[in-house]
This record gives sequence, structure tokens and C-alpha cells, in this order.
Amino acid sequence: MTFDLGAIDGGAVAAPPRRTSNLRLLWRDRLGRTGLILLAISALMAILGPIVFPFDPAQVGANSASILQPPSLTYWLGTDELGRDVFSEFLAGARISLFVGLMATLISTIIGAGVGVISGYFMGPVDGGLMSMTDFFLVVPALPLMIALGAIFGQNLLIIILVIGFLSWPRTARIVRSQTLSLRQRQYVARAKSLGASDFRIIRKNIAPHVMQLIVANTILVVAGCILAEATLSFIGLGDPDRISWGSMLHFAFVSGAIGRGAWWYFLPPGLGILLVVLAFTLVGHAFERIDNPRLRGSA
Amino acid sequence: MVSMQTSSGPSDAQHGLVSRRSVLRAALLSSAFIAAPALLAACAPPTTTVATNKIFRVGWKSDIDTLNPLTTVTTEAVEVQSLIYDTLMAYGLDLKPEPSLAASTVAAGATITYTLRDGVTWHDGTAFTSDDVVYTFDLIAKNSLGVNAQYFSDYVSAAAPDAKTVVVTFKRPQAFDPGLVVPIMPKHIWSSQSVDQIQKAANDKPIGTGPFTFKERKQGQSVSVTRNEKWWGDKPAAAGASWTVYTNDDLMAQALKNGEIDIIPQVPPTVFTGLQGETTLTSESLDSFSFHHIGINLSQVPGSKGNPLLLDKGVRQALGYALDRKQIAEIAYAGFASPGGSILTPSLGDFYYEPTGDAVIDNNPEKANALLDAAGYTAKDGDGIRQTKDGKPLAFRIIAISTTSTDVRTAQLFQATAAKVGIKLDFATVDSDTMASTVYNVEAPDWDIFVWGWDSGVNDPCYLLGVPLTSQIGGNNDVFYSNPAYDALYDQQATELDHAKRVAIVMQMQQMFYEDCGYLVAVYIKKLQSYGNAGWANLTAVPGGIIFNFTRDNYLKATPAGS
Repeated sequence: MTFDLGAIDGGAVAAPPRRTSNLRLLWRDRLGRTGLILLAISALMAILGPIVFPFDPAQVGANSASILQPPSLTYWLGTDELGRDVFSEFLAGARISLFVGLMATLISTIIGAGVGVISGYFMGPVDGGLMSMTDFFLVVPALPLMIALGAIFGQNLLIIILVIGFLSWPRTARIVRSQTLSLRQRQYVARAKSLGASDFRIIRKNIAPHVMQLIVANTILVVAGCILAEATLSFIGLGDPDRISWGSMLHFAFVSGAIGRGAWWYFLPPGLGILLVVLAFTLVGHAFERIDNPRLRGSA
Repeated sequence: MVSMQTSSGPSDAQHGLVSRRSVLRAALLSSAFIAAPALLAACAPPTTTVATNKIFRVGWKSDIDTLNPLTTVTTEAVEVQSLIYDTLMAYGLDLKPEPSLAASTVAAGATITYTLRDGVTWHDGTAFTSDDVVYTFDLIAKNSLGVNAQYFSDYVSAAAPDAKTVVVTFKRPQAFDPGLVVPIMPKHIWSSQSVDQIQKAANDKPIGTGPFTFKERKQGQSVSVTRNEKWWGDKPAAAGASWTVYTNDDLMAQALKNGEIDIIPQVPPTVFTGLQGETTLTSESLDSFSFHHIGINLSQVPGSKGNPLLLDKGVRQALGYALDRKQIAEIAYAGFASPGGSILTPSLGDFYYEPTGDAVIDNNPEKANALLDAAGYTAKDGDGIRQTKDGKPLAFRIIAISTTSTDVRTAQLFQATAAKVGIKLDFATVDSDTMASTVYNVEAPDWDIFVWGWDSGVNDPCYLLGVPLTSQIGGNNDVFYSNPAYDALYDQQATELDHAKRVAIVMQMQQMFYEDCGYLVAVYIKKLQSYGNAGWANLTAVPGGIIFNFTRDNYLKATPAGS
């Protein structure tokens, strides 16, 4: 004898479909809109950058006279210590910074959401075990650990993504867990259970859709953190030396004495780039939180 | 940090890491003695300096490792110790040996006789005697202690017939007089300690006979010394000297502009151009006896993890043709270097070999491609990287010290030009300790290519030529080059007293080593030093550096500016 579980699940997703209206809500939010515009610009830069590069970002200068030159009509943002075009580097750097940020966030979110849902749904010893692990990662000072891991495993993009991803999930796990804890007490979950639905099915059909909103909002905030983490690692010289990121531009500007020489065109663009992208993600993330949690509305 | 003097490499397998340059000081001495195993009489020039209360303040990027001359590995430490301790002979501003603790030195056959100066006392007031010299030589020779142990391989004994005379006996006549490099240590302080204790001694209150007495050390921050009012020589004007560690070049440059320090002995090129414009500073770009090179792992020991494709001379030469030395000098060094080639620097005069015509292995991508094509390395699968017939890619790892920005830039530039001929270089940066331990791992070297440098500082070819000797594997030989023909020529030139004949042999050696492409000498660097005009005057700009050179005399002869 079989029950039509679909019908029950249908009841579970009873909340009105808000997906489409979310973007509209975001657009209506002044800060969210600002963030969204900034994000669109950086995404455009990262995607179109390589097509519209004025120069190959790896093209070095011809002689010592082309080193650290101030902005000119040819070199819009001047040149760096190898005589490379800073504007092209800036565009290339956007790509790596965003890529690392997004990939690390993906890892972080998958772990964080997984741990959170499993922990909150099963409770008991599973919860105890997973949450002690989460607490451990939450209190471990992430930056020194990233530096240590980066130094041990070497400097390539994949390692950096993994290191950042594996060290930035605990917050997501905590938030998702508390939401799951509340969801699993709902009646429809109990009903699904009494009808014989498996744990996996309940998580997939009854829990996951409801924490998704929360995960998305949180993920956007995590991206900001991951981009900053990449910039930090690259700045202290643990980035992938083969690739230009905003963090590594700052690193090379710092070690080549650009700051002392007042070569603002070299260190200002990547610095502002990081600032604006992180700001954009933060604005959008908080806007999502406000949409999600009406109690926060009116605060912006 | 621009230069490699602070980077360490092992002097011999037993004794671990040693300052690359301190080793080379000895070579200078050695060359001087080959040329003139002479009697050097004491001849102190009339003094003009007046003792003042002013401190000679130096800013640099690395801390000293220890104050114990028997275990020290960094050039910074050797610099500080050279003012606290005296040697029997020392280098003047003309970079020639002068009497120091020994008023005269006579080399005859296999013995060297030192006649010591009168009226020398240790910093603690004890009288200095020939026993101290005998003790120091015995200690180093019999226990193989420290950097200088390598000059005592033929050592038999030292004797003190009286308090003013030391007779040192070797197995064979010595081209090199260790008296020029060995800091003489006080017997009354050290003799009560076991060798084990001596090797572990921090020596944090060093007692020497030198022109300055130790004052204070703040680990990781600074060291300072005070003028020794009872020194036997002409009293320096400086009331003391201090060396402060800066973690950042810009901060250090700012400190110089603000007058917080008087001199920076190693200014990175990009910072240097900024300092050149300052009217309150004097910035010297000095010829040096230094080159920076790309080293290729030639080790054939079973444990070597170097890429075996590099054992193919054709591949190495292709790398040589891919390297654009002019570009590196112009871009990585902002023009403060000249394109490299031979293992000897142009500053060595007629010993220097300059390849011409077809012999030139530099910036010639066509030739690199032709070589690789002929050897059957072709790019097949569309990624542009050449492969061997059985599909192994011509991809190598390249490492450089992260804080040596010029080396990092050299690697970046090389990476780009190598890619153009289908060779992939995977670049990684390491810290200086990792660099030394990775490169000098004789049993299992796990690297392919590095960027690093040597500072000869000697006006003689023997030191740099000696680096790639087979006998230096486990010592200075950082690429494990081994060529019996080269080794034989080295021994020949070391005993050849006819200059023209020696030049001919030295040329042959350089040509041989150049063609083998174990080293791709990238650039001959300039030593960039800046000092404040309001600080010290009467500083003589000598090749190799005003300070941080193998002569300490600028510390002793500097006079306060405006006096």
C-alpha cells in the first residue's frame, strides 16, 4: 500500500512563492540596489575584462623607464614595477578575486548547510558531535590557520580555495541548524514522518526549501568574507604567484616600494576594488536578511 | 630585500648553514696571498678622526642570528662581530690586506709567523697574548668549528714561542692565510667550556679586542656597540654603532629620510630611484662582485626529485636562449644591474669572460625552438607545452625567496619568456630558510630551478670559480654541477702564478661552465646604498659597499657631517 507523499510535500511548501518578488524587494531596498549595481559592474568587469583588456596583463615593459609610470592616455592606471598595465591587471584581478571568493563560498556553503541541516534534524549525539566540531572551527583563529595551511600546502589557486572554504563554514552551520531545529517541530514534518517518509526525503522536501532562503542570504555575506580572506592571504605573499588577484597586486605594490614612491595608481585600484566588491556583497546580503526577516525591515 | 648576502648556504655538510659572503671573504684573502705571500709591515696612517658622541646608525632587513663567531651564519652577524672582534690581518678601504692584531706576518714554506701588536687588551681588561691566538686556531681546526674551519684542512699546529709570536704550521704551503678571517677569541673566557657548550653558546656578552664593545641586543629588533676607548688603533669618531631591523623597505627608507638612521646598506632598486631624488641623502650605486643566477638542479643522486629532463644539456641551453637577461636587468632591477653571462663578474677585470657571436646563449627564442625541435621535444596537444616522445611535458618548478623582490620579478619574467618557447615554469615563492634547506639538500634535492645569487666581493676569480667544484657538493655547489675537467682546471689555475697563463685557464673554465648551462647567470647587480648627508661624512664608496663589505674601515673612519 502506498501513500501519495507528493500531496503531503505539496502542503509543506505552502508558503507563497516569493522567489520572483525577492529580486523586486531587493531592488526596492536602497542599499540592496546599490549593492546589486556594484555587483553587476564587478561581474561585468570579470567576465568582459579579458575581451576588452587594453593590454595583455602579463606584458612587461620595454625598459626601466616603463616601470611604475603614473597614469597616462596609454596606460589609464599607470604601470607596475614590471612595467605592466595596471588597468589590465585590475580587470584580470577582479576575475581571480571573484572566482576564489565564489568557489570558496560554494564549499563553505555546502559544508555549512549540510552540517547545519543534519545536526538540527537528527539532534542527539549527531548534533552534539557536529556542533562540537563547528564550535571548534568557530573559535579557531581562522587567519593564522589559513596562513599555516597555505604555507604547508603551497600556493596554488585550488589549495587557496579549499583552505578558505574549509575554514569559513561554521557560521552558516549554526544559523541553518537553529532554523532546522524550529522547522522539524512543525506539524507537517511530524505528519510526513507518520506517513513513513524517510529522513532524507523529509530533509529534501520539507526542510531544505525552507532554509534555502536563509542560506542564500548568509552565503552572500560569506562571499564577502572569502574575498577578503583571499586578499589577505595574497597580500602576505601566500597567494598563487602565477595569477593576478587584487590581493596579490597589493602584495607586489607593498614589496616593490610603490607605497613609499607614492605610486597610488598601483595600490589604490585593487584596494578600492576589494572594498567595493566586499561592500556590494555585504549590502545585498543584509538586504536579503531584511527581506527574510520582517523584523529587521525599516532599519534601512 | 634585494640582495642575497643574508641568505645562507652551507659551507660544508658537517656545519650546516653559513653566510655566503663570509666564506668569500676568505677567498679574497687567499687570492691576495697567492699574488703576494709577503711580509706586511705595520704602517698606520696619521689619524684625523676626533672622538664624538654620535652613533653610527644602520638600518637593515634581517636580524643577526647569533653573536657567537663560531656558529654564526648570517652576514649581518659577521658585520657586527667584525667591530667587536679583531682578526690578525684585515682589509683596508683599498680592499687589500693590512696588519691588524698582527703587526707583521711572514709566510715561509708551510709556516706562517705572526708578530703581535703591543699593548692590546680584551674588553674586560685582560691582556691579549699569543696564547689567545693559539687557542682560537686550535679550537677551530681541531673541532671543525664554524665557517672558517674549511681553511684549516692542512692545519698541523700553532705554537707560541713567546707572548708576542705565533707560529702556525700547515702540511703544505698555504695560498690562503686564515689570519685574515678568523676573529681571535679570548682564551680566558672560552677555555673553561666544552666544545659542545661552545657550539651552543649564545655569547650574548661578547668580549673581543675590537674597536667597539658590545652594548645591547634586542632580539629581532636591534644590536648596538659602544666605542672601545682602550682600543689599540686610531679611535673612531663614532661613539658607537647600532643596527636596527626594519620589516618593510618603505618604513626603512622613511626612517632614513627622517634621520632616524644614517645608512641603508641594501636598498631595493624601486625604492632606490625614489631615494636618489632626495637632496638630503647621498645614494651610491656601486659596482659589486655579485651576480644573481638561475640555478638548475643537476643532481644525479638516487634521491633527487629534480626533473631528469634538466640533465639534458640541450634543454638547459634552450632555457638559456629563452632567458632575456637585458630585460631582467632593465625591468626586474630597474636598470641597476647589467645583463649576466659568465660566473665571474666584469668587476674582476681581465679574468672576466664575455661570450660573443655564436657562443652567446641569451634571448634567442629561434635558437631555443630549433634546439628543442631537433631534440624531438614538440608541442602536441594544443596547450603549447613541449613534450618528450613519451609524453612528459617540459614543465619545471621554479622557486625564489619571497622577500627578495628582484628574484621574484626575475622568475616572473623568465616564466613569460620560457613559455614562448614551449617550456612551462611553475613559480612558487619560499622563505629564505626553506630556500637554503631545499636547495642544499644533497641527498634528496626536491627542486628543479631556482633564482638566487652569489656575492663574491673578492677581487680574484678563485672564490666564484670554486662554487661549482665537485668537492663543493655539500658545500657551496648549489646546483650539484660535477665536471672532472673543470675541477682539474681549477687546481691548475690555483697554483699558476703567471697572470697571463692563469687568465687563459680561467677563461677556459668560464667558457666550459657557461656552455653547460648549470647556471644561467642573469645579472651582475649594483650595490645600492643610501646615507643621510646630515649623519656621517668621510664615507668612502668602495666596490662591494660602503659598509656591509669585507672591510670595516668606513665605520672606523667616518666623521660627523659638518665637522
